Parts: sequence; C-alpha cells; structure tokens
Amino acid sequence: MKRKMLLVSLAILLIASVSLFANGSSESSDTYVIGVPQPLTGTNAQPGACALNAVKVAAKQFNDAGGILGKTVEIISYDDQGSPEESVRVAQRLVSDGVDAIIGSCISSAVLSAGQIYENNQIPTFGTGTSPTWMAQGWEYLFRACQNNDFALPLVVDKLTELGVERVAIFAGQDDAAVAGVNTFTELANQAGITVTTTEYYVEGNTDFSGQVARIINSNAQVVFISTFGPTQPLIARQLRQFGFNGLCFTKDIYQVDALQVAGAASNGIAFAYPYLTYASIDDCKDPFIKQFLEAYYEMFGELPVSDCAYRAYDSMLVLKAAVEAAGTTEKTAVAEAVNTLSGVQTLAGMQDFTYGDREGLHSFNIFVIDNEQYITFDEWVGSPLYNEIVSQY
Amino acid sequence: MLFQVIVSGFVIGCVYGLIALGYSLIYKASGLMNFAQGDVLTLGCFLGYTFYTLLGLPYWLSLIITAAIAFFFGMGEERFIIRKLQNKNVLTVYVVLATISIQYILQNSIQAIWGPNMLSYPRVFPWNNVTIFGVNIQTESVFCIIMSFILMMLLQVFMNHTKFGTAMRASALDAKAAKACGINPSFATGVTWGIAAALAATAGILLGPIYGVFIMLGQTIGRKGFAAAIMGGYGNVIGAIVGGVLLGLIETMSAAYWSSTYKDMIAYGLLLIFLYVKPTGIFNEKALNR
Repeated sequence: MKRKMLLVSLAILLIASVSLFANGSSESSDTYVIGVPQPLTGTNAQPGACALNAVKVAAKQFNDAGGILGKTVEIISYDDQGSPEESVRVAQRLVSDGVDAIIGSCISSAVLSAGQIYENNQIPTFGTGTSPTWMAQGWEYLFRACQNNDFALPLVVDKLTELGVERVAIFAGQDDAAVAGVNTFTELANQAGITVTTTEYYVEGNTDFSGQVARIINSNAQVVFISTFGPTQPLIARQLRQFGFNGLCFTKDIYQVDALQVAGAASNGIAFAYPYLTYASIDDCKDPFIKQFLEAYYEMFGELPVSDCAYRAYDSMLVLKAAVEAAGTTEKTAVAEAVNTLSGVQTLAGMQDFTYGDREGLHSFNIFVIDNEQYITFDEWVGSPLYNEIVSQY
Repeated sequence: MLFQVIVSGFVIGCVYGLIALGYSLIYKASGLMNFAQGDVLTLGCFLGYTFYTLLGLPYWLSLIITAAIAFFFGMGEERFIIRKLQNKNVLTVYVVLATISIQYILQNSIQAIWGPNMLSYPRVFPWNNVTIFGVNIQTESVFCIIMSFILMMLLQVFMNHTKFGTAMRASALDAKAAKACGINPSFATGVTWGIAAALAATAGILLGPIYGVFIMLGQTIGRKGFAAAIMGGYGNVIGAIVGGVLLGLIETMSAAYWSSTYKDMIAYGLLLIFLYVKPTGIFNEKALNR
C-alpha cells in the first residue's frame, strides 16, 4: 500500500512539475509566447528538431534586438510525434498554456488535425508543412510562410511538358502530404497529356523498395515523380539507379543535403521545385540572407540544419514578427488580420506576399537539379552532358 | 529484372532472418519475446557508423566491436531487467511488455546520442557492384547475404556441436536438471540474449552501407523478423533464416508483380495463415509450454 502511495505521489509530482515548467512565464505580459509543436522523436525527429532550433535562433535574434514590440519572446515546445492523435493533445496543451502564436508542425497531417483547435481559440498559426490540404480548410487564423506543393507542382509538370516527357511513374508514401502530392501531380499530368504509367506506394518504415522499382521500370516510364519525405528519398534514389533507371526524377519537395550525402552519385538527375536549398557547409551558400541565418544557427547549435524545415520555421517567425509589428499589438485577432496585409517581407525563401488573399506567403519557386552531386538551377543544367544524356531519351 | 528482384528479396530476407534468429534464440532460452531486437539493429548500425566512419577503424574491426558491445548489451538487458522481473514472478506478458519499453528507451537514447539526422556510410568495398548473371548488384548486398548464411551456420555449429551450446540448450529445456549437471543456467540464458543482440547489431552494421543510418531503420525490420521467426518455426535456428528469406522474397515479389500498396498486408497475412494453419512453422518447431 505504501509503495502504491509512493508511486502515485511520484506520478503526481512529475505531472505537476512538468505543468509548472511548461506554463513557465506565459502568464506574464512582458513576454510573447510562441508554441512550437513539432515532431521531436520518431521518423520525423530530424525535421522537427531543425524547425525547433530555427525558432530558437529567431527568438534569440528578436530578443537581442529588443523583442517583439518590446516583449521578450518565449518558446514552449512539445513533441507532436508527427502524429494526428498526439498533435491534438499537444494543441490542447498549448492552448491551456496560453500561447500567443503557433509555429508548426512540419508534418501536414499534424497541422490538419490540430488546426481546428488553434482556429477555435483564435491563435495565429503558421503551419510548416507543405501539403495543400490544411490550407484548404479555410481556417482564418492559419497561415503558411513556406511552400505549398500545389503551387510548385504546376512548375514541374510545365517543365516535363517542355522536355517532351510522355510517361511518368509515381513513387509515394501514404502520409497526407505525399498523397496530396500524388493527387495534384496526377491531375496536372493528365491535363498536360502526360501518362502516369504506374503509382507505387510504400509503407512508412520499409527500406526495401525493389518491388516498386521493378514495377516502375517495367511500366516504361521516362521520369519518376517521388512523393516522399525524409530518409526514404536517398533509399529510393539508390534503388532506382541500382535497378538501372537513369532518367530524370522529380521529388515533390526538396531533396535535402543529407539525402544527397547518403545516396551520392545516385542523386544525380534528381530535380525539384523549391524556394531554397540546404547546405553541407556555410561556404556552399551564395545567398547572403540564408548565409546569415546559417551562421547564426551554427553558432547556437554547432551544426547546420540539414532539414529545410528549419528554413520554414525561421521564415514563419520573421513573418509573425512583421505581423505583430504591423498590428502594433500582440492581440491575436489583430495579428492574424495584419498577416493578410503583409507584403515584401524578406525571408529565406525570398519576399513573402500575403496580399493574394489565400493566407500563403510564397507563390514563386525555382527548379533545382543535382548533377555531379551538386545542386544547380535547371537553367544552369541545360546543355550539360547529363542533361543531354537524359533529355535525348525524350 | 526478375533476378535483381530476387536478390533484393534475399538481402532484406537475410536481415529478417538474422533478427528472427535472435527471436528464436531468446524464445528457446527464456520462453520470451524480445521486441527490442529491431532497435538493437539500429543501435548496431549507429555503433558501426561511429567506429567505421567517425573513428576510422577497419570495417571488419568495427563489425566485431559492434557485435561485442551488443553482446554485452543483450546480457545486461537480460541480467538487469528481464531476470529481475522474472525473479518477482510476474506474468510473462509483463516481461514481454518490458522489452517494448526497452525498444522505446533505445530509440530515444540513440537519438539523444547521435541526433535525429540521417547519416551516410562510406563504401565498404572498393568496387561498387558485382555482376552476377549479367545483373549489377551492390557489393554490400552480396556481403550481407553471405554473412547471414555464415552466421547461421556458425550458430548451428555452436549450438549443436560445442559444450557451451549444449549447456545453453540444456538450460533452456530444464534449468534445474542443467544446474544439477554443473551448468549455470542464468549465465547460459544471459549469453543467449547476448548472442541475439549481437546478431541484430551485426544485421545493423551490414545494412548501414546499403540503406544509410537513421533512427527508425530497425523498427519495421524488427517486426518482420518476428514474423519470419514464426514462419520458419519459432525457436528453430535454420527455420529463422529460411523464414526470413521466404518473407523477404514473398513481399518483394508480390510488390514487383502484384501490388506494392498491399506488400505489408501480404507479409502479415502470411503470418496469420501460418499461425492458423501451421503454427509450428516450416520446420515444425513445437512451442514451449512453461
């Protein structure tokens, strides 16, 4: 009995201490509290951790410069595990913590499940996923300062049409962003008269895709559209090349630098439409604004962000700060209304413009290609030996 | 194309087989299931990466050190967690649940030590591919297949033709009788858990150069290794590898020639069929009744 009492007391103590630390000083009016729900464990821990780090970088920069409207920025972060169920629990907790704004999650299905809670509580939220689905809900307090894949995929299909591609195979995961990518791409391809020869799915956690690759190659596709995220990208790149597919591949969003390092030469001929790149070293970056961010990130964490989710979160912070300053108050509804008036906000992805009325800040993207294990723009790639080798097939 | 698909099925099947070997050994020794096997594979992959890539040790030495560390990890797991629970006479299901806890603790610990980033292994062999029957196959994949069969044979010899192997089997069958014969059953069981962990870690270091190094590498493989162990005959050494290869081939072939969407459904459906129709597996291994 004594032991039971002891265990119960310990559990209560633990919960109480966690709540105490979590609530922190959010009650104080001198602080502007930003909730950061991100996946910090599991398959998507890497992008989640990078996003959280980037938020911390931005918060430090803001605070060093006097805060937001004189208020000190504080961060409350929880692990949503990238799962819809957990993200709802995390959202409820952040609401009870009394946060002023939300940056996250980088997993679209988590944004989709938690979005209604933030909307009901009128908390300005910047989702950091790239799926179109959660923005399609019409939530007025939900914004995005990173890529919407639905905006970038037309660029990809236009490029395929321009190259004379007739047959594309799709390899995809089964999460919300991956499936949304498949649906949009298929629709656009059909409209452009490009045949989708096969659509192959994989289950999260699998590492061997030889069956899918065999079907893709047997379908006689000229190009593979890869709708995945995270560690699957280099695996599928390697296996496609191993099986002898040497054609162009388009990924639905960025093919990160860590994927490039893992897959090496198998990454050559992989392209994507995206606003920015990730880097293995600061010196590789030529964009002064991104370089500045990378230096600040490196100074704080001793490493560079391998996931672009860091960029997404950092940009969201910049836009949020601009909105609060434009509103002249931290009052949530005023901030949300101010976001819709913003344009010309300098971010890592370029100038953000929210005046289109779709609560999205980005509307134009670049197409990058990997050649000789280096990122270059598609325009730079045209005429190279690999370009000639691949494009001559079409 | 068919040959390449078969080789891929063999590679992943051999890895399932190595994990299944661990499941089978532990079941034989303790009548338990250790669901942390898949994450020990991940641990092995990260340890191998550390020794081979970060410390610059030769691959074979990294493999041996990794297996040795995993061996002691497995022994420690049995000695300090599993046996402590068993000494309390808790239900077997609680002990199995403890292995699930270990699984998550391992996952989080690996992330805490190595971080969440995906890491890349440099090439192990100087040549990228070997050509077999006109088909290019990654050298590390061939090495993985060869190593799996060598390990299975070594284990078979160790268990059936060495004094300690016999002692381990005796301890598993009847601990009291084994003790009366001068065998230390506790030590023998600990060694079995150690060998199981070493096998999983070896699978991890074999997989690293093929798939890269990331936290969730062993999660699905661990589950499928369990399914493979049942198909082969839960507790049977040869059955584990045969079950693994069979599962690898079936899921790869079904994905290639039927549907990739239902690849896992087919794999686990097959497990259900075995449980219903032939629970003793291909090698007719009878379940322990403790």
